[in-house]
Amino acid sequence: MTADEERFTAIYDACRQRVWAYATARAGRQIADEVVSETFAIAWRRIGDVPEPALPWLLGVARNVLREGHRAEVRRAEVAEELWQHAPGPAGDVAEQVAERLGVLRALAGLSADDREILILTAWQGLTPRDAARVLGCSKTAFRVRLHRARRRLQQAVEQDGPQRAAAAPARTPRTERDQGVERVGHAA
Amino acid sequence: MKRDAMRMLMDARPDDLDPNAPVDPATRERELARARHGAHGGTTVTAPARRRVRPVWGIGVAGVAAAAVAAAVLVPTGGGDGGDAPPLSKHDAALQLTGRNALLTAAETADRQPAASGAYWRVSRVQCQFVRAGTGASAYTVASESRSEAWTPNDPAGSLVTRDQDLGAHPATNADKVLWRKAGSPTSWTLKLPAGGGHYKQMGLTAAPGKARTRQTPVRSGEVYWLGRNVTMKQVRELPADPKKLKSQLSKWYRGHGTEAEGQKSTRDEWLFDVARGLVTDMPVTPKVRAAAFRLLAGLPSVVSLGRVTDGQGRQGVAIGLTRPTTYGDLHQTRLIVDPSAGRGLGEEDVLVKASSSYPGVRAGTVLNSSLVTTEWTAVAPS
Repeated sequence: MTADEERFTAIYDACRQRVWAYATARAGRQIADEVVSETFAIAWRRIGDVPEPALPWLLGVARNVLREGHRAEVRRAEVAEELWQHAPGPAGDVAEQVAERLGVLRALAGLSADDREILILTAWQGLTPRDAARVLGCSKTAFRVRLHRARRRLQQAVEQDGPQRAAAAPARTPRTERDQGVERVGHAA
Repeated sequence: MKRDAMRMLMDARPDDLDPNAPVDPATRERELARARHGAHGGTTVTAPARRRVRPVWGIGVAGVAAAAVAAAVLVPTGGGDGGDAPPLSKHDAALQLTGRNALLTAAETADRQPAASGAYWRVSRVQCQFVRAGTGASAYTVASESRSEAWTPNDPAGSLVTRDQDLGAHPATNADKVLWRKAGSPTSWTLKLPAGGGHYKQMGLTAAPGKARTRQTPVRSGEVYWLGRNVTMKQVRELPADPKKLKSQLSKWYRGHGTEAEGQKSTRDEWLFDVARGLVTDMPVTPKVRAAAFRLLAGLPSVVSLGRVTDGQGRQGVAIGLTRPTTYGDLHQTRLIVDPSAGRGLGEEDVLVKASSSYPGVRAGTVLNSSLVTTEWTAVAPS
């Protein structure tokens, strides 16, 4: 293995799952694999440009791949469905907690794609504001302001959605329908 | 008691999105190999998409390039064996005149049309994507069709309604039909798509149409269209009807890159071509603005004329095209089919100009996908 190949493999091993998780959270599992493949193909071609740490750069590339090919933000409803399908199981959970999780995922899905992305990068990827700002291509200060606003909107959405509505509708899509996979990933704005 | 929503969100993270979850060894192997060999899905990445309301149809097929590694069932390719496609090399003066005249005639037709409006702008788009089944001499092309409709509200507080339906797959041409019969006339084709975590998802193309799915989506801040940035119905309706002013207004939104991503290279001409195509084909602009957009297109030096064509619904038109490299170094031509007597764009095609390893077995000049558009104002939208 050449030095480039070694470095590329090390970057892949360190970051692949994070890139996949980011793409999945934004656009769903079906698209995520494609995005991961494209992102690392670009990383390999531009291995000389990949900085250390590589993760913010890679997430930035994945973000462009998503925007370019898949218009991630148009699939809000489906993202909600999908995240819920794979939400942590009710291991010992009381109904109230299940409802709470559904509520917050629905609240997340109801936010703008920009807000959702900021919250995902912070809450699920655990990125520092500096790294998250790099992914988004904005300043750290701008990121903090946007995160603050996104958190506030999430809080509002959770409180409005309320547990009663969340509990009433277990929105899990039947497995069989998804597994057939014949349906296109439909579009919506 | 009020819980912190951020804490709730952290707790609700799906298990498999744990950034520290292990990667399945087979997936790792495949992805590393794919990255280093430069293979990629291609089709959706390069598909033109100018509007916010963009069908992401074709993603399943895009995954097929990856599937070729795993299952070698279908690879993306073009349809029609180039038989219906206008030739690529005829860029002579007479033909150029045909294209320019067609655009100017379309502009004059549009100029004479009355302005209309309604509660919803309905766009119906029938899309066709071509995939290749089988290998070697017995391989044939399958055309997979879908229809996506969108009712965009005039009222900024209204809801966008979309309806999508898979229309089924079939052999693309008579020649393909012969080979398809030899293969036993299958009515379904299986794609094996990597589904993450080392799992695979079977995905089928079937001859039978699927169910129509209708959805309603509230519109945020009235921004319903995409012209390289989000725009409202009002902004679209208020675009200038003078070609020069239109060009300068649209150019203000050009930021040195393509309409879809900062990383997408695009000259100003290419960008204007992409945006103006939307204006003449499926956006609710006034007829005068459509006329201006046709005149703008007629003045773009990188646009070539491709002569008279018949679209997939048998409608007559004239095609113009723009050839450019994709992000991945393939050469594609985006074609716009214009009906001068109707004063509007009929649809679009994406053509592979030069054979490439991204599209194994696909000849230069092959249509990769096409979409045919009809539009109208309506008083109501389905619920």
